[in-house]
Amino acid sequence: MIGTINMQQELKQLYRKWPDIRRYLKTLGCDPVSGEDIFQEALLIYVRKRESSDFELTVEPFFYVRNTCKLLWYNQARKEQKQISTELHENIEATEDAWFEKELKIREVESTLAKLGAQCQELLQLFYGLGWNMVDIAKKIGLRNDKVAKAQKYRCLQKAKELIQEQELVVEPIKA
Amino acid sequence: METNWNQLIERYLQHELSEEGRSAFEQELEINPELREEMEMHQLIRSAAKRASQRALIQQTGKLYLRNLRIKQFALGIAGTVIVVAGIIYWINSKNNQTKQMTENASLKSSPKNPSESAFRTDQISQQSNQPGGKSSLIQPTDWHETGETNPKYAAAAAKYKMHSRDHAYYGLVKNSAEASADTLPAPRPTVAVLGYTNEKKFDADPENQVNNQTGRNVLWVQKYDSVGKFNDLYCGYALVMDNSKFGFVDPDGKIFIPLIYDQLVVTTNIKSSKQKNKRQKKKVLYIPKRSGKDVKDCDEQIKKVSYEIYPAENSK
Repeated sequence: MIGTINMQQELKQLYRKWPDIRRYLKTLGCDPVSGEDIFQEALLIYVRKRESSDFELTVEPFFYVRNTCKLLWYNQARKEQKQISTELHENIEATEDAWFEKELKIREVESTLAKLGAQCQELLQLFYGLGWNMVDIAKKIGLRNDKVAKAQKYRCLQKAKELIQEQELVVEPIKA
Repeated sequence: METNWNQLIERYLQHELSEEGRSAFEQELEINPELREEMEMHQLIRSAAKRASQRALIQQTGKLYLRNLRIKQFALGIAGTVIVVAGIIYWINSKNNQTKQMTENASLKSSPKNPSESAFRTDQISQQSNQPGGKSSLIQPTDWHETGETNPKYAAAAAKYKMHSRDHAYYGLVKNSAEASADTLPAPRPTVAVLGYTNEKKFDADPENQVNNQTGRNVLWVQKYDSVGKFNDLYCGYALVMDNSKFGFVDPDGKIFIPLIYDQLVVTTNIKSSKQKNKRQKKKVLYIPKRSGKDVKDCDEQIKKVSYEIYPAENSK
């Protein structure tokens, strides 16, 4: 929990640099709306990297985020250009390697989780994301005690799995 | 069965299983592809949930940042407005003070310089012993000057001015009475007060002497009135006279030029509008055009001519 509070502080610090980054992205030809998306995406990457143990920050966080923004924007711009010119290559590039595949899957699952109930979403996010213990989560969500919360968590997991399987069933026939 | 798997996987990943259970689970994991698939999905969900929470955190931070920014901008805006308003108020105040000080200074400067003159100008009439006090209130020259002014500030300044000059009025009176008894009439005290419109140009000679000489020479007709003004450019060589709180004008010979029937005098550049303003008053008002520039010059010459005609002749007598 302390780690997340630190992370929030860090995020606040980084967010204060948002005007600089916006200006920077503007010089690269990025519009402000997708600029903010890119910035948030870069922050997400930064946070994730920060939490993985084998990541060593060699530059200041601000420059790391700025660079990530730049790369993300180049990626997006290239994609947009490709979409315009040749849409055929997209699928080939999409399956580059295992890491990318996993990344795509995670993204898919994430969007699936968004279909869960608000309580389930919050519970799973608190438990897996912020690492709260069940007692606190029960208090926060308004459940009677940690046992109820635990049971609720299993129910949510079950539902999520069902949703994912359902989606795969739906998606796969289209792919094939 | 599936729910059981579910719980087991969860407990395994949370390191909640005992040593035995753990090894049993790992064994099962190796031989059971279904469990492996389940496990994979479970891990996917976990990481997805984690990512979702991170995303939520970032978005929350973003919102917080934006809100703070708005609040800051709002506060800055308010602070700016307050400063501007305060500045304007301060500026207006200081300006007011300046004008007030200027008028005060002016009155202070003018009154001690020539106390007798100021006494003549304003308060002698009200101090006269043989007249009821309220009589003269209408013809105080400060009032004449103020007729065109509606600004209360100036009125206040004028009142202050009167106060100052009143202080000196006594001395002026004493001086005047002494001189009057010395070189004109054996009368114990002056029965005539001279009401002078002050035009600085005209005070080349000692104003008191001029007045006294004049009163001495024209004493016969001058004594008929409660007060007599100077012959100056304001009235183009005619003198304002007052009797029984009615105004009129006489020419230098003492002949009545405008009969003494007016209650009030108004000197104005725009007679028409003044008339409109005073329409409802029952007072009889005499309107005099305010002279300026060429008019005054013309009048000056005329007066000089007139006085030249009068005085040498009288002196020779």
